[in-house]
Amino acid sequence: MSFIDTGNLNNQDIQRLMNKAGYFKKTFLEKKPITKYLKGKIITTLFFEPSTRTRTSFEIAGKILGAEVINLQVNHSAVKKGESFLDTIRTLNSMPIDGIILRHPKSGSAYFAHQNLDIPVINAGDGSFEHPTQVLGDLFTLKEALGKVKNLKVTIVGDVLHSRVARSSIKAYLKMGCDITICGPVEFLPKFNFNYGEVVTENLSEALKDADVVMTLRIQNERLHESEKMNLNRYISDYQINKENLGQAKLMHPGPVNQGVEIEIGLINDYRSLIGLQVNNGLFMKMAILQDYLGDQNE
Amino acid sequence: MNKSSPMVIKNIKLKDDASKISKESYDVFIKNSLIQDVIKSRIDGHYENYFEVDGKGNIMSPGFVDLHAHFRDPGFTYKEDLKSGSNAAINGGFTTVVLMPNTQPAIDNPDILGNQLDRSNNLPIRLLHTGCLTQQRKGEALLDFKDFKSMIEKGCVGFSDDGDHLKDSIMIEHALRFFSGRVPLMDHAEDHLFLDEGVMNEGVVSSRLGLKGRPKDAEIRSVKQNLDIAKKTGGWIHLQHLSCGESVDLVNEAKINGVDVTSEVTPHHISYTEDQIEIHKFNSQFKVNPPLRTENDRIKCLEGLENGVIDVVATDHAPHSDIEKRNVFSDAPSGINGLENAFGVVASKIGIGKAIEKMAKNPGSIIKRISGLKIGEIRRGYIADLTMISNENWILDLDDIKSKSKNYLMNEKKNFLKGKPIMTIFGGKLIHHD
Repeated sequence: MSFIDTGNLNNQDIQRLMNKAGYFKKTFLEKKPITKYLKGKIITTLFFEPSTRTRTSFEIAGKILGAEVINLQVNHSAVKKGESFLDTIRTLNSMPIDGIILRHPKSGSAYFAHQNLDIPVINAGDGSFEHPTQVLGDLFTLKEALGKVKNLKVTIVGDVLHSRVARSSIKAYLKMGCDITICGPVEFLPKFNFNYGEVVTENLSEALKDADVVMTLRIQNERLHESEKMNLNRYISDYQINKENLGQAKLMHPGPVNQGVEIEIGLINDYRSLIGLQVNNGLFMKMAILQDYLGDQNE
Repeated sequence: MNKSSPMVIKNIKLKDDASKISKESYDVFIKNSLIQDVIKSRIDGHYENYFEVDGKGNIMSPGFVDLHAHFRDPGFTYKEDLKSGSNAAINGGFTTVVLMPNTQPAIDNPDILGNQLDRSNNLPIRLLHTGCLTQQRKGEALLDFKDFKSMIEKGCVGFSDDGDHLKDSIMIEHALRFFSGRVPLMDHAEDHLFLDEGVMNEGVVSSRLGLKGRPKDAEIRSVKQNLDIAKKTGGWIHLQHLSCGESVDLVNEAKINGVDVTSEVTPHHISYTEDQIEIHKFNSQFKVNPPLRTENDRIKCLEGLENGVIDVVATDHAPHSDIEKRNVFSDAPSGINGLENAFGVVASKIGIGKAIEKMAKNPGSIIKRISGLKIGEIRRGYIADLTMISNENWILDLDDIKSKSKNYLMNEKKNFLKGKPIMTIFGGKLIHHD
């Protein structure tokens, strides 16, 4: 089975994965052996976009559980010689691989791979559509930090329009019974609302009012320059999260962080920040997902 | 049997003037490629010297006429060619197909057009050709007027840069003035300034899927502007594949104001919406241009078709190879096949009688207006292009597809197509029989 879209998960699926992540974290920290879970499995990472953290984290997660993890370097593969995406994934289909971890710049490419492959696909981010492993890791982090993920007011601030984390988060958090508000300048909000039940506002103080969690999204400088209407200074003055406006909320960020842009310099290390824990827990959630989707069912 | 000898098709139902299927049965007589007579069936009627075909109570339509298809020939014959496209057309009950000029080379001068006409002569159905509006379809400069003139004289039935966009609306004005109603300017109405590399309708679904949208405004503004130009010049504009409810309103208003406008809608725009792309998880089959819109737009287009604002259904048959079409949504080419299931799709929406009006009578009368060809009606003196339809529900079987591309929208509902073309007669000759 493939893991592509938080929209396909129900509350129980998410609970199960969080429990598994908790188990792996505990077992790993106790230095107990856990290589049996994916022993004998061969997993390929297939990244069509640059990524250090996500790819490395998946590689480590797989190896801790005993899998062989092969990193397919797309730049050096036949793709550079003009091989189509379909041909590339079909080649992998004819090899004894137990799962593919895919990142691709086009929305929908994870579904496309799934539709054309017999082996499970784990979506490690496709275009602006989905980044489900990140979001499940974030939910796990919140559960650890706050003891629950229900009835929270979660506010997402920044470039929602281009963000796969935002799309994944909205669907997943609403399923867990949270309220979701998205906030940013009009250029960074989708022209048409998602209509999942999210609240949309351009007003930051309104968005931050009573928030339990504030998730900031990375601002890509090149996108700012694209727009004549907006510049970095205006974004910082109107939408940057700082020590004051964060209030009592917890701070999250899917990374990599532009300190001094979406959040005030130093806030990353503030007592309210869960950003370090997110990275750490992301590893255990990836282990949970790999085991759940690629492991043998009797484990 | 001599297929062109005098023939009588006995015991068939016909569409009446209200686009209902007749209760009575008729016999249609064909002689010298023309319809010689239509009479009410007689009990035990037997006609000497006529080859008799028993219609068995099936419905007889004028041969279907498609004003908008892409046969990709020359240039992209791995997708389709004149022969495979013609076979697909016959399979779908079409006897006349108008081809768009976006081939390689593009049909942008009298010589290339002449070559296309020669190559179409020996095919089993009538292929009519359009020319480009602009040189090499670049949208920058109109063809020379002497070329327009020469191409019209050779039989070109309209001019279009379908699939691409004119850089400047003044060209539309000049072309409309020059054509002065002799041939239509066939307008793919989308303002390229608003498209921004969009790959589907801009709306809730494109937001959700993280895909760039093509706003409805791109079509609406272009329709409005070009209707205004048509009004000003008195020229004939034929708006291709309308997709927005607002476009239908604009055409309605223009018709009331006496603008010389005809318009078409595709089978897919009256059947499907953008929701399919979400439901079917980015399935590129549903990537078409203009894009599938909202349910409200679909209903408005369907109503516009039924109430006469939209004159015809045209397939926009746009075949692609499997390897091209089977791609990540944003990288796949736009377009789906239409010819072989179009009638069944349309009849399932508006009924068989109305579908005959929209796919045979009305497009036939547009061709008659352009070229004088008497097609689209079963009347004495009209060309004997006929399609027999069985009143049954059916499904297009992959193995029966004649197009080089298999890319038809297949509904998972079994047998959803209504009214199956089972026999085709072209110019009095039987060319297809199930």
